[in-house]
Amino acid sequence: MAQEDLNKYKWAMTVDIDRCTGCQACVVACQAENNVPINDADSFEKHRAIEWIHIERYWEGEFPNAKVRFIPLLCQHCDNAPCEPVCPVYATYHNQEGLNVQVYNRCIGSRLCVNNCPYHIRFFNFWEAEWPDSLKNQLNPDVTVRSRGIMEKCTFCIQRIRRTKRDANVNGFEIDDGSRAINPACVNACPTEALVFGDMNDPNSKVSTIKEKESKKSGRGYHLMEHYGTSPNVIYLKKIEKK
Amino acid sequence: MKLEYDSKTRKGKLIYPEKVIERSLGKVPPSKDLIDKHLHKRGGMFRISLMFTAIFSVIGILGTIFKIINGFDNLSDWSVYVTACVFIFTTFMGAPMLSMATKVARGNWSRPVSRLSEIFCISGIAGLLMFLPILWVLPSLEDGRNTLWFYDPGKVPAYSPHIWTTIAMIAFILTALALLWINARPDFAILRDNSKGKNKIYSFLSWGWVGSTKQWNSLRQRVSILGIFYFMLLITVHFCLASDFLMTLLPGWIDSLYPVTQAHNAIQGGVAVLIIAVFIAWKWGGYKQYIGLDQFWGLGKLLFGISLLWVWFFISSLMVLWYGKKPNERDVLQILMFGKYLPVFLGTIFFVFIIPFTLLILNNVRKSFYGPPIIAISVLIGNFLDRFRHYSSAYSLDRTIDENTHRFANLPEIYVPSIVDIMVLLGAISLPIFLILIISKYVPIISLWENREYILYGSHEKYHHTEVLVEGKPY
Amino acid sequence: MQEHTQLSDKEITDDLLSPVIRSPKWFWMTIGSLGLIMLLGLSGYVWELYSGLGVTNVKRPVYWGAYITNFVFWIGISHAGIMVSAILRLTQAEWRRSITRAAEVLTLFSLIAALSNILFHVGRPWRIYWITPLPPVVIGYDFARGIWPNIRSPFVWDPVAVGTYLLSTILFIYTCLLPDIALVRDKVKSKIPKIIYSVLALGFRGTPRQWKIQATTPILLSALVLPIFVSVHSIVSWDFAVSIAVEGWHSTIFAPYFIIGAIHSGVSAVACLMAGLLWLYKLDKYIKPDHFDAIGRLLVIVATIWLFTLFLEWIFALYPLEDPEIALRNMQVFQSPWNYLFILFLFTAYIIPVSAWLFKNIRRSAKWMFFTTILVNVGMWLERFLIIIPGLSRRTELSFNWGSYSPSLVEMGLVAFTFAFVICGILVFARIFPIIPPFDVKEGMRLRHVIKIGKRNISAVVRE
Repeated sequence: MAQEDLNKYKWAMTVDIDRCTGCQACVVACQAENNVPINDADSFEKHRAIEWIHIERYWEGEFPNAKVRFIPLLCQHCDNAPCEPVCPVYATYHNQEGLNVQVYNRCIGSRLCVNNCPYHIRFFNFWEAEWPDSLKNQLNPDVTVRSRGIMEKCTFCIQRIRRTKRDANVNGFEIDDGSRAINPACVNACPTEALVFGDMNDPNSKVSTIKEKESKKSGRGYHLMEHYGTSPNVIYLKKIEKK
Repeated sequence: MKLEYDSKTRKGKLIYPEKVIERSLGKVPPSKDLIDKHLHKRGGMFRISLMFTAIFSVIGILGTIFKIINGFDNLSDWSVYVTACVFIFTTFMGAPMLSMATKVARGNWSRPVSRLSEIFCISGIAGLLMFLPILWVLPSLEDGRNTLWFYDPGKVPAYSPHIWTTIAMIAFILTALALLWINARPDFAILRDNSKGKNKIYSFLSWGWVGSTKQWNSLRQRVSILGIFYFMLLITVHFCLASDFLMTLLPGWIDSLYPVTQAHNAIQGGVAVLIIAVFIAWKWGGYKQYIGLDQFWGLGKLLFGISLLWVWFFISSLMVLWYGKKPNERDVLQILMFGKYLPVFLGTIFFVFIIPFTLLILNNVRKSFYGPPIIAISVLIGNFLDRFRHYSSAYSLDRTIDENTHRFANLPEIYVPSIVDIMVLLGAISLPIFLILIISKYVPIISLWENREYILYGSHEKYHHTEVLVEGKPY
Repeated sequence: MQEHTQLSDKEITDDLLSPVIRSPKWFWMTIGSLGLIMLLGLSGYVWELYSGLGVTNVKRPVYWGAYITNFVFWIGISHAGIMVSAILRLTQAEWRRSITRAAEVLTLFSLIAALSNILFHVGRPWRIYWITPLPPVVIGYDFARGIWPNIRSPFVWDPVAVGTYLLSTILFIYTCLLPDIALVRDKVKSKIPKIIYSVLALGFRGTPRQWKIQATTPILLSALVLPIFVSVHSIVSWDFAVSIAVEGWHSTIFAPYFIIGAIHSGVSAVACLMAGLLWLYKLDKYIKPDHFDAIGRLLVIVATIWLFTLFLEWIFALYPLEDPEIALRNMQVFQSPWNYLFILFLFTAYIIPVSAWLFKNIRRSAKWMFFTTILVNVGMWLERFLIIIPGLSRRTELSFNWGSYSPSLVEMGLVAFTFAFVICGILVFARIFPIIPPFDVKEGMRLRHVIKIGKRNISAVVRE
């Protein structure tokens, strides 16, 4: 097997808010792919729901002129992540492919990371997750089922990235840009292709092209809460407003 | 009291009799020697220092006039001027704190040097004179500069910071002068009674002091209340200077600790300046009999502790600003510490912390006559460098913002003082000393009444097989 | 001090050793009831261990709740020990003699209570030892999977600082205890306690060489412990201040603010403890109104400096005129229930106690000091609560995630556990070792002199 070049890829994602319809297909796909515990009405009321990617909604105006704005929020995989220096046991660190990695079996649940994340996209397991019998066969064997007391968050479906890279290495093919095998579940599920995932190190990939085009002054690209200086790897594209 | 204890059988109660030391006011009159020292004509060295400081003060005033003529528009021209002015407040005007603090804590060792520390109150006049032009230098709030006074056009005056700081400063200096006068009143009375011929000015200054119990009680009360006010005003003045005259000029620098840091640096500079003044009084003033090793030792211990505290304040600020890696805070640290001002910053740490800490930690250095003064000089150099890196960088800052990164386009170079700036700096150091020398002709620099109390309350006694110092704690 | 009764050595020994020789009448009842509270609290913890942290009311976005508040509170109280014994020893204040040991024992148990709160707070307490730098392979077992703790994390600085403080407190207490253990060893008659005390006394016989070492050690330890005094609570404050994403936390004043708050609540706790010991053990000859007067005056100064740092924190939080921060402060001052808590905090932590302490009669009365200092500590617990929870409930601009918090029954039970633990610990310590050091008091008696100036007698003391 050829030696893996760890610096080859830099994973990034763009989220086009103009294309996003708020259908939540990404939320469902993520829950299915990553064994995210089931949230019921009680979890939402108690503010303990776990949604690795979720759609934030903000209402404006009154009926009948009410408008809703929504934005998919997921872990930004910041290059200058504020959550990384504070973990006492190195349960979260930045790997060489630009991902902010969460190591479940190292986490002791001190919850320093979640206080330091400006985007509120880290989640804590307050209870032992329970699945009804009928859903137990649906659990993804590639992903750890987390016990209580552990932090979790979006991983850019690192299990899919690892699997595709291993396949490519073993079988000797190059990974295509936009390959559905390496895309996270949310990107695959999005009906409008609002989510685009790819390798920022490849200048021809779709994410690089979007970044190049939209990061100019005339472009729609922006980072969320830029003044914190977190250097996120997720680029949001502004909604085009009707004049 | 009798001992009822039989050491052979170990029976009976062992009561330690209170050993009574007899003293009397009559046997400890106000020191004739000190009165003579104060009243006789000043020698050659005094006159030479007076002349030199007078000349340099005039040079400083000329420098200030040049600067005023050149106008108030260019903020960066005034960098060193502001540094020099704040330097006066963080050194000379911090010295009276020793007298106030030891009076509250009822320490005995500081009595010989308390008048020396109070006499620094007069340097506030120099500070105020230097401060007044800066009121025209500091921009008003109309151009959108943030301030602590929550500027609301029409409701809050656009010159609020100027007004509040000036009021605080005037109150500070008046309190300091009042403290000096109240503490010196008994001395003026002693001089009035003991000087032949020159009574008029001393009877005016003593304002009817007779030394009755009521007058003494009211003196102690007034000193403690005014002392507390002095401390509060010191903190207020440094709060106003550090926030409105410094932090608002460096966008992105929101440091809630810095006013306290500057007040603490003022106390450190004050103790350092006091040590040097005590050394001069000891070596060349002829007061070797009255200032002893105890005083240098106490001041050395204080300087050591305060220098350690400097590091604590410094790290507290640095830790919070550095850890989060926020872009605007990183820029502030580049400007103040790690960027172009790095040599100044390293100099600051070296002179203000490393030298005092490593040397004063040795008991031999702390408890010596030459150790604390040499280290005090190092502290003063470091204090100046500290003011320089903060005030010069803030005043000479180029405030253009880069469009793409939304951060500072250019970081400031180290501001090189011009000839006029050096003139002003010399004046800033000399004018307070000149004022102190002048006033020392009328105010005795070793307090006559405190010297008496020092002898009354401190007593060397034989204690078992050794000799110890016994200190009385009257109140 | 003005008042001073000269006591004989035998009187001092008899008075201070009687609670050690024989339990006071109220002892077992008190320990029993405190033990009951501790048991209830611990049963709550057992339930938390079994079910998970869901039994607390911690939720998104308030992930830190009553346990962290309690942790910071007890670290604050623990500063009493160093303040009273180290700082007062170095400034040679004579009035510290009766109260040093009680203050240090208070410190010892508050530090243990504080550390226990971290255990309650983490999600997987059975793995909490990963915060310590364990060797990779120990007898064939790799405890930490070969990974060192993250030295950049505030939660690693905390145990280092608190652990150092704990160790130095134990050393301090033990070295100052040696003469007194020797005294108890000589007085006790029953066999097994005599053996235990003899072992603990390490052969202290009162020879000049032993006294010399025993006298210089506390001075050295005091000087060495001063950096710890400043750094422990600074480090705990940096748990909050280094965080950029929580409003109201990212302020450089936190280190001095917390330390001065710690001195405020710690010294108040010592005054409260002194009043308690005075009444329980009838120590009228050793704990005098003068002590309370001195503590009261110190507290007025410390409390006012604390108020100033609070003012600085608020004014610099508001000065950038940023919306999230202003929303937070608006909530704290105007919205229910925070406005009630805020007013309650200001009144109990500063306004009522300090106004009371300006009067000499109140300062000299043990009863009034007891009640005002309890008020102070209620206020200071609220202060930590008001720093931690509102900031977390109004984090950043993502207003959709704003939330609220109030402690659950389990959390309140464990908070009560820590209080009962500390009180119980002090009382048990006072049963085993003399809580007021006889040798220190006797030393103070020996150093007394009187200077007679004219008709007035002024108390004087030998300067060390």
